[in-house]
Amino acid sequence: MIGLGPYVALGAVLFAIGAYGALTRHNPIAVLMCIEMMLNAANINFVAFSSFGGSIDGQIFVIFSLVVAACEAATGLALVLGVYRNRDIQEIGDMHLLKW
Amino acid sequence: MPPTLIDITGQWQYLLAEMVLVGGGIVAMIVDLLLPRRNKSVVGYFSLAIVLAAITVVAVQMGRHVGGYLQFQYVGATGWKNTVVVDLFAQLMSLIMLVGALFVLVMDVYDWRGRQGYEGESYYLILFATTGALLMANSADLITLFIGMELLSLPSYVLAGLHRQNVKSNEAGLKYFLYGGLATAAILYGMSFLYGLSGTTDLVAMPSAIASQLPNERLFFDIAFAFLLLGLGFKMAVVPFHMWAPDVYEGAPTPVTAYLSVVSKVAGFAMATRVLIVPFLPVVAESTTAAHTGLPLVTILAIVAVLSMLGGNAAALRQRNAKRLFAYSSIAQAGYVLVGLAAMPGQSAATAGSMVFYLAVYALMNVGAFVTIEWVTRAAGDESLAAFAGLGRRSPWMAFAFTVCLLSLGGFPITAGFWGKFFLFSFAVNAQLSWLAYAGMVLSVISFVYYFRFIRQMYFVRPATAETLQVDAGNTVVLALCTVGVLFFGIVPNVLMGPAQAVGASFLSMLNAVP
Repeated sequence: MIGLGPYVALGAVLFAIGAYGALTRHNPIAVLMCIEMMLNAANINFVAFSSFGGSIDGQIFVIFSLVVAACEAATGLALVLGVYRNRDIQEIGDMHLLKW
Repeated sequence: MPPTLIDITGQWQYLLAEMVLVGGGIVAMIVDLLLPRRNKSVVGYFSLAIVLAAITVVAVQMGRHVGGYLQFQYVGATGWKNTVVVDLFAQLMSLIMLVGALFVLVMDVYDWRGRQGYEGESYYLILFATTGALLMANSADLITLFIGMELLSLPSYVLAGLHRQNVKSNEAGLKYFLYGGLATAAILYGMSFLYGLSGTTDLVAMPSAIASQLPNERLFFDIAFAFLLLGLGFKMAVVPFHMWAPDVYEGAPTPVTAYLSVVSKVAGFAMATRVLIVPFLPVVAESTTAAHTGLPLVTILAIVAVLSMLGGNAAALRQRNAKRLFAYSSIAQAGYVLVGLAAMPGQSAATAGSMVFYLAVYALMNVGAFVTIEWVTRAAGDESLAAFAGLGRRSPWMAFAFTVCLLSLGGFPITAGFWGKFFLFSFAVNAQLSWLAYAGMVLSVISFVYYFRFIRQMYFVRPATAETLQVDAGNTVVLALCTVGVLFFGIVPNVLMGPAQAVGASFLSMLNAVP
């Protein structure tokens, strides 16, 4: 029988990988994927806490947060496309019109 | 009573304002599709009417002392679950945000004159975003809170990048999205720990559930607090989580900048009060005992407040772009409000009131300032401070109104901003945070340096052109209302502080009403 600990640890590892990627990757779409990974780390936590804590609220929360994550991905891809159409940009570092 | 999926007992009135906004937004979306390109301002006037209707709903509910919880039951569950709360805090915050949205919509309608682009979209996106902002103030549950936050954030990302042909606006939208997405992930992760510790997503039941878990799980409370502070710090734009704000404020269309700096910020503070202060009150109480081993949460909030006031004011000193300067100014303003948040655990009732007072005043003075910035920079085609040269001669009334707003932002006596800071800092002293109050006073003096730069330009520098600056009726009314409000609440602050003080009481009753 696996306890609560490993699930929370998995969530923490996923969150850390996502955060590292989001802060170091140079491609906006890769950053978007890393953010999704961080959201899913939180989802794992919710499901784990829910199944070990006995209340169903956490699993309901995950359904909502999945929907929100899908909306966020759609919005984000549209914004990335908007930038790509107007400018020849490969990396986030190329976005330096707005600075200081 | 047999268990049903959703058992609503005439409680939908607690969501009435949100339903008006969402319904109006959907109608506006359809109308926008049917209208020809030159008539899109009809959607704008329709949205104005919807926001006015929502303001009426909230005001009437306040007048009738409507308040309570929207509850439902899962299949097979025994207890009732709160999702939405209507208390005085939620109602006053909703009013502030709705009035802010109303003023921004007026700015937006005039901003689109003589421009091509996604005009109709900008109106109904503001309606949807405002719905989310209201939900954040009204929520009594983590799920509602999260949905409300995203309902505010997603339209805001699009609004910031709405001028699709403008590369600066593109960049602002994408940057806002990337930073905002990170903040959302951090908040969700923090919420997952809050849920794991308390076993419920119900914010009303949470404090007592947390108090029972407290001595054993202190480390996880600190983790939850850290992630929530990280994410909410982004949303409220406080140092050291403020990096996105100047870029987004500069690149976004000016009415959207005004929206972000007023409505989003107020919503961020409403959410912070609901999730960062109330559930953690037992944790803070434990911190004052001798046995505690965790982080000093109040001190952390106080440090963020000082950093914010220091960083915002210092960075604003070297700005020459008016919108960017106001981004840093609003970071500093968020620092003052954070003084209130930090004092809240010690002095909850009174401090919640002073925070609401300051946010109301901040909304008025900042919208007033942005109306002026919008008109001046647009007429000059230049966003630098030099665009304001000689405004005192070109448009004396506008220069006067802008001066009042600037003095109030700095906290000059007989303006409302002075009383706002006075209340915030005096409650900080009561909450044994005197050093924080002194730091706030000293740092707000620095802010006069850059606010006076505008005043110097307006009255002591020769204008490039002598022609008068014509302002249309709608914006004149908004600017006049903001200025009169700032002066009125400056002379008789009790008119606003009375209801704001009652907020504290309603707030405590929510804490005590644990089922």
